[in-house]
Amino acid sequence: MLKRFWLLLLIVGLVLASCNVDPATPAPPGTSVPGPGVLKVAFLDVGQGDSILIQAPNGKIMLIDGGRTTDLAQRLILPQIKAWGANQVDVLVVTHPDADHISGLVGVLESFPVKLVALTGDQHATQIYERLLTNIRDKNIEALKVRTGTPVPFDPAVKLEVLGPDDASVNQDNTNDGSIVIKLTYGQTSFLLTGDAEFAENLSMLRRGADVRSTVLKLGHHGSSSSTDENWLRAVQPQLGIISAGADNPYGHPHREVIRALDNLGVPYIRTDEHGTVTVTSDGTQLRVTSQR
Amino acid sequence: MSNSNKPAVSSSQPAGKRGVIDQFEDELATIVFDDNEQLVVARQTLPANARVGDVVTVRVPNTGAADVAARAFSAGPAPAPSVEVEADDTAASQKRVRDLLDDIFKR
Repeated sequence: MLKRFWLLLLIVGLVLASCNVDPATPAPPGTSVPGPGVLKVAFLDVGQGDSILIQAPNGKIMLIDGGRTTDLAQRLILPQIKAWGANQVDVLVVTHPDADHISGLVGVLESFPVKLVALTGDQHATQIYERLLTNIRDKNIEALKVRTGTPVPFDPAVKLEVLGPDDASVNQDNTNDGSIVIKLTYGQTSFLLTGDAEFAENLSMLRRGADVRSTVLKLGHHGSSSSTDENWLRAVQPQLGIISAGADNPYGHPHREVIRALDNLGVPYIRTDEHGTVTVTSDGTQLRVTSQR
Repeated sequence: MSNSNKPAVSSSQPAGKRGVIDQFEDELATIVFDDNEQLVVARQTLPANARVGDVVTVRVPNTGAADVAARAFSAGPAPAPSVEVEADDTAASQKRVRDLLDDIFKR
């Protein structure tokens, strides 16, 4: 047990050393005034999929996506929420209806209090999506239809901006480019959480003049080359990239071109398939990064 | 009400399993079955007009419905099954989803 404990400390130390996340470069022009608490963002190791758990300084919980199987709720998501001392999900975000993002959310909706669900309303006809919508209806949970600029209630100390999608991007053949994209700014630190947004949605955000610059970028679509290239990284200027992907997935995520782009621009990154759950904690000026392994 | 929970069987075809095309990724397509098992197949396996959201029946020669399910995501791409789009079930499923969305956003 002692050996495992020290091993954990060593790994965390390496991660901290390699990530270089002190935001010394000019921060995005966020207007958030940090309070006394911290913002915690955990990129959960759900295998091939996405699930991001966030706790605001005021204690409120936001869950963005839930991975590709319903049992992830009981195995991973709810234990983490309870470990953070919370007894409800205040905002549950369905970035888009693909099964690798929503299945764990169904498990949460069926067994844990949820106050508000934010979703695009994409008309995706899978049974798991029907189950998700049925739970929202039957449990009479407030549903918020989200588009670019929709205000989402969370914590006044954290600036939350919805940067996408536009109306025209929803209910298209490519569900990825209809992903809800959220930017969180806490003090001088910021997180760009892109769901599965690909180049079309990236470009759409840039054309609208959205300030995508962020300290931490959750790479779109599990590190796919359809989401990230050097141009996009230059626009975001991340100091840390997070890749949420499953080991040996059949899609080849993260793609080699993406890793090469990160390396070429000197952007440190961390992968859930290699390091397990990654938690980034912000006090408004500095980030602390820990990983499960 | 669709018969989406019943395996599609005909006298001349092997048993099949009902699912929905969940997403395309380059040359791969992910099909999610009604029990949430997932199957990744080559996109060219699908009919040319197949779209994300279409209800499909997947059949593998000499394979029963349960075995189709066993060829799930974790096993990687399966050898070419036949995939047939079920237009009526697709329309019924899309209507159910539209109705649900109307319900939750109207409140």
